[in-house]
Amino acid sequence: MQGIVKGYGGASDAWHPTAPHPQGRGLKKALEIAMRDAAMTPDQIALVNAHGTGTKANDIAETTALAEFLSDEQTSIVSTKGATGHTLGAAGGLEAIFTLKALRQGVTGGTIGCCCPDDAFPVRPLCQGETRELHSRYGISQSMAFGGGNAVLVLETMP
Amino acid sequence: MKGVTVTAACSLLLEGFEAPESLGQQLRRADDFISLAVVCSQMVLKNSPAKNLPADQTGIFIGTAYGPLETNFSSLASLIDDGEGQISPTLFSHSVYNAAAGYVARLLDIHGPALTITT
Repeated sequence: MQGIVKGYGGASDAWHPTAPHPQGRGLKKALEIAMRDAAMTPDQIALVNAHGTGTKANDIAETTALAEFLSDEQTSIVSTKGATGHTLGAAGGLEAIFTLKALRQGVTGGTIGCCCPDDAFPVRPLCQGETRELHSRYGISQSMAFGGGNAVLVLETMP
Repeated sequence: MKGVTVTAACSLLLEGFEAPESLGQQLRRADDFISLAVVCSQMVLKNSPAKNLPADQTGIFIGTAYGPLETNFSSLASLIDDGEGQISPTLFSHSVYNAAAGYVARLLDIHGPALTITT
């Protein structure tokens, strides 16, 4: 067994058919619900595998939502879509696996293709070429969808 | 299963279906799958004894056998016939199975989780 789902949260932006809510309203709610479901605090989260599509609309909304919960000094924020592309329906499952694998190894690489994060991001994602050791075995894998769907998994890797 | 009560139900058929005028503008680009979901959801909420449900305490669950299959075929046909740069963004965004749930959430102001399950 690679790990377990400690908590889950879902919420809707109710905003636009394709664009996320600019302040990540639905994602914030999903993160709140997931963390409460997992009975955890943000400082316990070592890694966030973001939806991270690399679009202006998504990334600013996502980093805005994340900034309300955690600090990029304590938590590594990465997107693996730089390596895989957007796998659509497979993204959620695939990225949960990536999250568990990184947590298991205790280290994460940065976001492939990300060299100069927008200064407007309130939290800074880990960039290509950067690596960071992970301080706990807990992480988040989150996904956002057309129509404003948001889903967050809190994951724990097995020791 | 405990604590589950059906308080309202609605059924609609595609034959003869017309979206009400109040939703006409918002559904002008929507396909039948989306339109049926929105109109039916609106009727169910209107008929439910539980009025004024808080937006973040209300969720959406859509079960569908085929989903927006016709829209899927149209978008794939466009991809093949017109090339990958030419597909309509609206058509593509409506081809995902959770498109209807997204419309229901937006037009009926529902902020809870939205799940779409298909066979």
